[in-house]
Amino acid sequence: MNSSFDSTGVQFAWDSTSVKLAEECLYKYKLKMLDGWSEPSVSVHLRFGGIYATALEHYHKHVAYGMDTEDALRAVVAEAMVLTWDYEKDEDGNPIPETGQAWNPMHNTKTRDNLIRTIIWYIDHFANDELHVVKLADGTPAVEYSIALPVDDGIVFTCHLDRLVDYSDNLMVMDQKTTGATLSAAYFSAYSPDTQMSMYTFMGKTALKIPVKGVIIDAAQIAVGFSRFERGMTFRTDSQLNEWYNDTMYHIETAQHATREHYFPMNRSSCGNYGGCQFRKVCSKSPEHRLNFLKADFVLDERWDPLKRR
Amino acid sequence: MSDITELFQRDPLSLTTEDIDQIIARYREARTQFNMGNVKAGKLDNKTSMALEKAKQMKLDIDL
Repeated sequence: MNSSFDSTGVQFAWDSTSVKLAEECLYKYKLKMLDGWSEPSVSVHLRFGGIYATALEHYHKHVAYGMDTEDALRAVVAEAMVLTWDYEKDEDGNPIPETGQAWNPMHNTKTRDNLIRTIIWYIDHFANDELHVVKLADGTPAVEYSIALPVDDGIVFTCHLDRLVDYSDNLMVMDQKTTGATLSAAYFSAYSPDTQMSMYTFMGKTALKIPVKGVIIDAAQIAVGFSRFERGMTFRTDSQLNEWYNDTMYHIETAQHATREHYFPMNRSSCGNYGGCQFRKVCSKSPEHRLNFLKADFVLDERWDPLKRR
Repeated sequence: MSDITELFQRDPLSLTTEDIDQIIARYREARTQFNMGNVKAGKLDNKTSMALEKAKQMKLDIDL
């Protein structure tokens, strides 16, 4: 059951993924968030990026709680090997040993062995890092935080922070990205302005009451024969965050109104952004034929739930 | 000593600490080779390149 929607189907819990959809195009928001249409191939990137982020998050958590770094690396590699094996499950959903097979993502770079390689290379690349995990008021390390923050008008903001770190006396959120693109200044400039990074900063400041300055982005370029890493930063001032908050509330209210009215106008100016919207082919058809085109190229997946802990 | 390909084909719940260490050592060695410039990005065979081009046209690739 998706808990981010009220009994009338209006979304009240919002993460950066759903805010971005509402900002981009209300028709796309309907297809993805409300109806649950997704491309079959998207799961490759979600799974690869998800296991990678989990591995690094758990590594830093192990180390923050005192585990030796080699033991922590061993633990997360073993965990990632299991997470990339498709076991048959028992009644309780637990993997049954000696069943199943290795995950085959059908992708040229986002493969199982490249994932394991990238985890190991990342940890070794940043082994002598000057970043220190921030300790919260109760003394616990600020690692692996899922936050749900009630804001105005019954709306809840949600996000998951990998870790909060102290970088040269700046308190920053850490985030991991994987990409096939070459890492350059242009790659990192795409994160300002950016709703996800603004929300991370906002949530760090508001929910955790820590004077977060912005986000450190550790990006991994995944290639056939190597993984390369670059670190970028994006900062947000208080006035930028205030502006982002007001704009975001506007977009949320607009999406909620659209849901109540069952009217989701397309933003035709965004169809060509980022190489073209995935639904462009569908939207180019006459409305009465769109469902058939959706069924042909997309699958009805479990709807994205911003309140679900990942 | 097991080959790394064989380790990747084995049920990971059956892997020992030594097996995991072997995987880590293998990738550390590969990283050293890469940093020394002995490994290049790799070239896709023609079939894969064509499939990728098709995927690109279909806008199937995204990054997280």
